[in-house]
Amino acid sequence: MITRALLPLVRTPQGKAVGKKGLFDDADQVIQALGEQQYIADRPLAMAVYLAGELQKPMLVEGEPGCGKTDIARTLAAALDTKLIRLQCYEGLDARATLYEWNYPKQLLTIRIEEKRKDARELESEIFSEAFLLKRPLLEALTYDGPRPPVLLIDEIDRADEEFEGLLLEFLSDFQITIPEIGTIRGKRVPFVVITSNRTRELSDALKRRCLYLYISYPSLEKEVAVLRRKVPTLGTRFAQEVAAFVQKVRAQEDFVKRPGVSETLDWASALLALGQTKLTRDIIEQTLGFLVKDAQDLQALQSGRLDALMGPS
Amino acid sequence: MSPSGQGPPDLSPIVLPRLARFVAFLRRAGVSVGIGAELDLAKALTRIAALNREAFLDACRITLAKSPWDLARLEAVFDAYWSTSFVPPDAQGNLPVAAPPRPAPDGLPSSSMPSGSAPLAIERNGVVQVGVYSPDAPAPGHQLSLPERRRLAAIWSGARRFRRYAATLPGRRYEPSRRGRVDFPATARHSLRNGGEWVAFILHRKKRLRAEFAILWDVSGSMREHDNDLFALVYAMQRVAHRSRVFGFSTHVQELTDTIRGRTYARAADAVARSLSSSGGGTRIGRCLEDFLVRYGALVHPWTTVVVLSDGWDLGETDLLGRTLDRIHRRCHLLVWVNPYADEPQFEAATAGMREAIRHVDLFLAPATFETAKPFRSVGSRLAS
Repeated sequence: MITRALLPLVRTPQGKAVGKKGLFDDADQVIQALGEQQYIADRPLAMAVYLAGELQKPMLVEGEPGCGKTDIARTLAAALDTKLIRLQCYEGLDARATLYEWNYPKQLLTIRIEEKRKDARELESEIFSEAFLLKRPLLEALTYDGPRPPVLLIDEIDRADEEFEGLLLEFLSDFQITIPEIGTIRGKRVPFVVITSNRTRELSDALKRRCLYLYISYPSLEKEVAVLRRKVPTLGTRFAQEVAAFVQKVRAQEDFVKRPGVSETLDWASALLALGQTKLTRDIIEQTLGFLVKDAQDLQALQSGRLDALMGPS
Repeated sequence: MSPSGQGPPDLSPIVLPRLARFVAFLRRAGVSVGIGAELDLAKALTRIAALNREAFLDACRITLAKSPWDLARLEAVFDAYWSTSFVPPDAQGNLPVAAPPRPAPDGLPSSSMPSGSAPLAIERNGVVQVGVYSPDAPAPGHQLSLPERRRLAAIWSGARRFRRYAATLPGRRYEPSRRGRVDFPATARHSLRNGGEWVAFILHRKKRLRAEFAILWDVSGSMREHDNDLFALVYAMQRVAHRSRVFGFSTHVQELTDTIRGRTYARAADAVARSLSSSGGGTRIGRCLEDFLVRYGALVHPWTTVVVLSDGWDLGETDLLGRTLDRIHRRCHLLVWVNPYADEPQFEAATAGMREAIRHVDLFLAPATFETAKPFRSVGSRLAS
């Protein structure tokens, strides 16, 4: 229903922007393209991908571990038939591992070979040229020369330290990298940037301001069944429903340290299939709980009686 | 979803002022929306079917929100603004909502987060605490004042020493090492010292200089007289280890990191005192630590040092405290307990909570330890024996 407050919008002409530069025509196309790659995208996710492409802004994806944040980038690269450049974040990640590094051995060898033939100034300008540059993921994404822009995945940024966030700011706002010896390198095309975070720490406002935001929570029962049917097609519909319903019950345990994500559900379903199961029984659940529950405390809680309550009356 | 278009929509005359008012409305509701995000929304609306309510709400979510808390708030006020039936509660149109607390890492709403409109202090059991007078009750509110400059410098220096003591994370500096990456400049220098001959590769690795703290500060009534000392320590530790998170607890856990981070001592003290104004008397250390693990468990890693600042005066279940401390101890790098009475010669672990805690902690310190240059040695060894 259109509310009175929205009525002014009716008077505005509608339609798509002229001079389209995005990767998709609309959010429906995103759902379709990701669906072809076996990824079930809901409308908010599709809208975020569509707008990130249209506005040429990085997409910050936060959410529970194992809910498909990393998979978005992987699937998107496959859907766009382009290269996926991945930067896995960790403590102590620095400019040398993310932007570029000078090829020191090559420089040393060149100095030794050329020192008698060239003067120092000439030699210096030679060894600080692009030929001696080792491109790391951010620079590689910027200078990628394929037919379509690459998908750059900056995974688990909350694992990196705050200095690294500062390092990213120039890249994310202007899509350029400044190398003191060479100058500023600006990309021909803006890469599609997906940044993921598990929220183990709060990211800086400066970084968040530069990104479109998407939060992925645990899927509903229906969506989880659909994901199971799509990713593990040999699983029967009924068995998929049974598996998803049990996982949803485990996930509802609020005191659990690590609640199972979709990836755990898929692993568990595959394990059950490999064991030739077509029905959930207490024995088989107990034997395969390790696929679903990844914390000793949670495992202990399930094994010491709570499993019966979750399984309900037989 | 997007209509077949004849050209770009002209949003400027009517819709943009309305969008600006919506963003102002969101800001009053506690969602911090910058100009950049507002412009992003305006641009996004030219690319979607703006009359489709779901698409419009999705665009608002994607461009304006920056955290799960923002999302929940935005969804709550979206209908209030974009529907005709909403009447603002006061003449200025201010929404009666509190400033946003920091969300839990798992996105769960915090127990101190007001679910309704009014910023009430609601306990876990749903009972709203009404002020009750007792002549023995500590003075209401937290009085935090600036300590003497020299003393503050000593605490600061102690916090730095403690960071080095508890360091598990690589810093930006390197140290020579038998294993690690090749230090090319050092290799070149070494080569030059040997007449240009390439003698050996010099290796180096990053020094372990940085620590990550999870600081749990008991802000209950029994600790009120130590507020100043402990806040000075908390502030110093938060400032020397940037990735630290600070929580206050009494009967519930409340995150204070954003209240302290980036502020001068005086401003941080003022903000913390105001933010703790709703904390009541009584301490449930076990329950609070359990709540901390459920909501912020992801912060407790093998490289985290968990620091509990408390006198151990627990009104809750001692068994629960023991179990929870055991869980934390097994998951973190160091579990440190700072008790304001620990350096007193006649001190004994008299309370049940303290007796239970001493069995699980790695270090049992007094706040004064941070003001001296002595090494961090547990004063709890004599108590444990």
